[in-house]
Amino acid sequence: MTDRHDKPRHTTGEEALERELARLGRLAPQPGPDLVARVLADADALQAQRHGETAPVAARARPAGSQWWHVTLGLLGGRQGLAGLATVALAGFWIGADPPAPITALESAFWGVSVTVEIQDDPLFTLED
Amino acid sequence: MPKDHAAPAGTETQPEAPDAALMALYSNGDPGAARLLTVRHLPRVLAFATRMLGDRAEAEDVAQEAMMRLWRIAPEWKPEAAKVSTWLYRVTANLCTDRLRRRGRAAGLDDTSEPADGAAGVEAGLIAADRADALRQALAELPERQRQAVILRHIEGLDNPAIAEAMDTGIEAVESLIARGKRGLMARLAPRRSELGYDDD
Repeated sequence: MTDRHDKPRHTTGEEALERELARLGRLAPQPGPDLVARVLADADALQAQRHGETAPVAARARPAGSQWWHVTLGLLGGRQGLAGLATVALAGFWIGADPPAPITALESAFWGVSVTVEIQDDPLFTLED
Repeated sequence: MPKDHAAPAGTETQPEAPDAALMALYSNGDPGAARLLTVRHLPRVLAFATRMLGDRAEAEDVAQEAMMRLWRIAPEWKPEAAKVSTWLYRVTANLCTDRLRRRGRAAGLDDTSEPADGAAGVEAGLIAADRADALRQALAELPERQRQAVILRHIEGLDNPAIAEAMDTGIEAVESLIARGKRGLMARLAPRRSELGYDDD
């Protein structure tokens, strides 16, 4: 008995109306593929714009190919700077010590991890015998 | 030409991730977050806009704009301030209001007549379709705020606090809008009660 009094009483007309409204809700129009594509294109464009301008390097997808090297070379002072870093790193290796701390810090800040192996594999960084 | 969005979602995005987490992932550049948010919310945004405007093409424009605003707000999103769904309803309601004011008239009949339930017989199906059309017409004739409240409560299924948030008003005002809206609908439908088969219910 008390359960019945928990909800406000409806007239029959009001109940019928609510049922019809709910039925109308089940006939909801669905978004077509064109609209979905437009919405996602907006999302992608804004995301790309935002990250292209302001995202920290660590949060971006890693650049590929020549762009990757452009950024790296620029930050490390071009090919000459890179060769200098290689010389210092090799010197550290040969004398049995860790690589110089400033270089390690620079690498970490840029990539979040060391890139020593990849630098050695790249033809741009082939060392002269 | 729109891009192909059938590509797999980002590996960081989990289908069951809460909306707030997806907003953060989108802000951080995750490519799958926007897809999940779109799947979850675009249908209801479109449905609400269609019912408010009575015009599918206009409703699609509004839905796209509402979602665009969601993408824009993502970096500043505050999960404690609002649910994504409620926020979207509010933005959509405001966009619809702007459109209706620009039109300077109430929404007409929409073009969203869908086929009736296939299980129903032909006659019952026609009656059901007539009922739906009559109800759409009656809804379109309601004052805008009453229409919003009735749609959000009885078609979209929001509770009154959520409606109050979406409509930027108080709960008592929502209750009043819904009650007046339903009375208005019943008054408009009453003359056709027998014709529409309500007496059989």
